[in-house]
Amino acid sequence: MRPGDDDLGAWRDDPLVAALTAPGSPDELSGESAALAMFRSNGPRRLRVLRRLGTSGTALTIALLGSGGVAAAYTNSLPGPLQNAVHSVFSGIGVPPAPRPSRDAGGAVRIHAGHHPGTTAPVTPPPDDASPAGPVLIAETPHPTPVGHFPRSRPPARATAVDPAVATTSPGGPGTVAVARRTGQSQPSSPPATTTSPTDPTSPPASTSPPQSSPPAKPAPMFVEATANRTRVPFGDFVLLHAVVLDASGNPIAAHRVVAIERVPGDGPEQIAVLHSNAAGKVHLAVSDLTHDAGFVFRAGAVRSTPIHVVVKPAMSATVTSGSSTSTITITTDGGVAGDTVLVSRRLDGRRHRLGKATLDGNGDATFTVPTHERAVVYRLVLLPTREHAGAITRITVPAG
Amino acid sequence: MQPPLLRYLRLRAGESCEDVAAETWLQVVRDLRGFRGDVEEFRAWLFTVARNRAIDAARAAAARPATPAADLGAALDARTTNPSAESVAIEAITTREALSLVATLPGDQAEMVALRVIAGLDVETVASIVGKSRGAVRVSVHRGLRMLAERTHRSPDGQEAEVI
Repeated sequence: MRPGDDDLGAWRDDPLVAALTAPGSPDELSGESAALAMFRSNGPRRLRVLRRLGTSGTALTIALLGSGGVAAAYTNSLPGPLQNAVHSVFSGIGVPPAPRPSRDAGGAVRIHAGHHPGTTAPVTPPPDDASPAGPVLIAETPHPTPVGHFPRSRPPARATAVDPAVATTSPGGPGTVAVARRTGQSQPSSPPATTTSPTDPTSPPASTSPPQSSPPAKPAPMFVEATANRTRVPFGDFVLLHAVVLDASGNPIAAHRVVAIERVPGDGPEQIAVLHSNAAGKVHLAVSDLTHDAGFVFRAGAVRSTPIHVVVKPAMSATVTSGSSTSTITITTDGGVAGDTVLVSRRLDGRRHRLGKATLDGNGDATFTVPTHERAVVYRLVLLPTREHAGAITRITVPAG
Repeated sequence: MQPPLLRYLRLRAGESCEDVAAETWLQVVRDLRGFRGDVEEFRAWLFTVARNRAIDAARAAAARPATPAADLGAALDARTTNPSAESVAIEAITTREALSLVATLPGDQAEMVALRVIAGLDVETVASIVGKSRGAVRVSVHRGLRMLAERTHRSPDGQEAEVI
């Protein structure tokens, strides 16, 4: 409630209103200090937005949605115009082209959401008065929800395969944030990921690990429940996947390794990320730049979730070039594949008549010629669904000749 | 803005509030380039996005109803042993208890109270978000707060509320 809203002034001292507007609890405010440090150390000139990173091909992208939100949530406690504040805070989500965050010999990137025994030093938790040099910032959260943001390339042709992704987290446990990375497109100098990477979650902890007492036996996962925020995604957009690891009693299992697997029609399964469940047994994975249908499965130990099938909806538009006797309909798709079929039809005498079909070329475009009538005619264009997308429908009006 | 966002989503989305908040921020990050405005406009935009994501989550949950096994025991316990929300907070009311009380209001009214009080949005913005007139928002929020004050045996001036 803002001070200027006088109509609620009488309620300002009400205990219930006071409780509702109380400062955030430690859980709600987790990560604030890191966010503030991030804000102070990142200027608007280093603006990065997730989507831009996601479409940048091979650039690695880090999504930080710890414990219910990005650390940028705390901007109302920051000075300065909000636009700059929010941009500055969000800039920390991305990784600038250079310098890259600390990378181990294996090419994997290590990101830490906090200091955890058994992990190496954090990449860049910038101090409050840090210089703008810090390339990566991570919100420190006592109960972070691990999130991997998986950038997908958008190849000009579907046949372009993307090299296997290496997605790993530090073996530090549930406090880590998953990082996924594509290799092999525009970073020939990047060292390939190898199994010798100390970030390999299957490898022993780093030698910097302090001696630890033997932890209590962790219950074996019995269920992995996976959900998605949506299963029909516009071409090039993202899907946010959630999974929770449960034991035989239905209790969440924290700090359990969860592997995200993607299956693309026509290809075999591909491991795209490795995460660790948080205190609630949950992991989140954002897969951006979806260009074709895919199935996603989370695996914890030997238990797999039910596959989540995500279909991609291409965008289709059409323009018309009218002539005296014929008009040309030019169809443009974003997500259509060469060889895909577009059916052209119109209504006549109350019935729909199919006039013919067009085939998309390598650019996802097609043309169709129709006669020019004395009256404007509406044509219906249907991009037929395929194994790679869900198809699309649009209409175009050809004006009277 | 995270604490009020979580509190609002706790009313709208229940236990999945953190997931919805994550999706909210993800969309905010995605669409941030197109945003122009000041602090208050960002706040309004943020809560509008959160509301839409909560609606989507509710639709998804309705389409695929499922109760995690871990929640069954707690749900059963809540049905049998938990005190009513009205009896929770009298003196030292906590935020969570206050949210429980707000949740006892009718859905639209609870949302307007949350957007007005928790999110700190002005009447006009709340009216725009929930699709009601400014007068309706103002009256509904006042009635909701008065109702809650009566349930906590308090009125805004600290006197004992009348029992109607």
